[in-house]
Amino acid sequence: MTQRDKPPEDEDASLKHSPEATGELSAEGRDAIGDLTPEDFMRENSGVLKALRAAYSEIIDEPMPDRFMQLLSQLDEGDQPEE
Amino acid sequence: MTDTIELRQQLVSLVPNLRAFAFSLSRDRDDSDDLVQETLIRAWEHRAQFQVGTNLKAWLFTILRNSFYNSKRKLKHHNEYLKEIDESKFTAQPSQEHYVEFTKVLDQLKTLPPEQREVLVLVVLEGMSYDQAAAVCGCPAGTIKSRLNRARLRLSDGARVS
Repeated sequence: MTQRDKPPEDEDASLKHSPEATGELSAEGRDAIGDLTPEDFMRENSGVLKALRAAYSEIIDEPMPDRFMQLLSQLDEGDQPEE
Repeated sequence: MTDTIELRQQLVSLVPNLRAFAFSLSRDRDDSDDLVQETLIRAWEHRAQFQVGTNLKAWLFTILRNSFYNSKRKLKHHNEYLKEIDESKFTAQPSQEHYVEFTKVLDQLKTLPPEQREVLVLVVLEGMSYDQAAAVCGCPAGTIKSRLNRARLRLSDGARVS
């Protein structure tokens, strides 16, 4: 609760909004991950995860191939699922 | 009727995520698009089983992941053969650079076991909750949490080395 209980902040920690998600997580045990948001995770593991996210977004932003539009438009109410 | 129209629209909107997830698993563009197609068809056929209000993306990812592991088992022996064919198709794709780049990054994550990479994709990239990721992987949420933590530790070790 007191300021004294908090671990010393490093430079990166000052960029984080959530007080729970400061830099002590890497030193602390398994349960600390529970407080990490994906954004915290990205900040902590800058290099490769940033590249991963960028590459993943590129794939997501690709135009959808025609085969999927065709497929989805062909899915019709005719073949009702068995209930 | 309106339900099926809505479902169709939601399926359309989730195709990009399905494709990216499929590629992260199969690392092969044609295989991954086949997986997505299979997933869409199976989801549509079994749409009565989807509970409205639950997470559609997690449900679709579960179907896709199961299809991947099932077909992987079936195709294990034909792997080399398939790779050769796929490479020729791969180079003919107009937007292949994205896939090349994604593959490069996935290669950098090779030190992580597949189940840790998978959790990274689901939680960090797709923003799924531990519960949703657990449903997709068919394991308890605690397992997701510890896999993510192990991935994190391993990556931060790796970062220090390089």
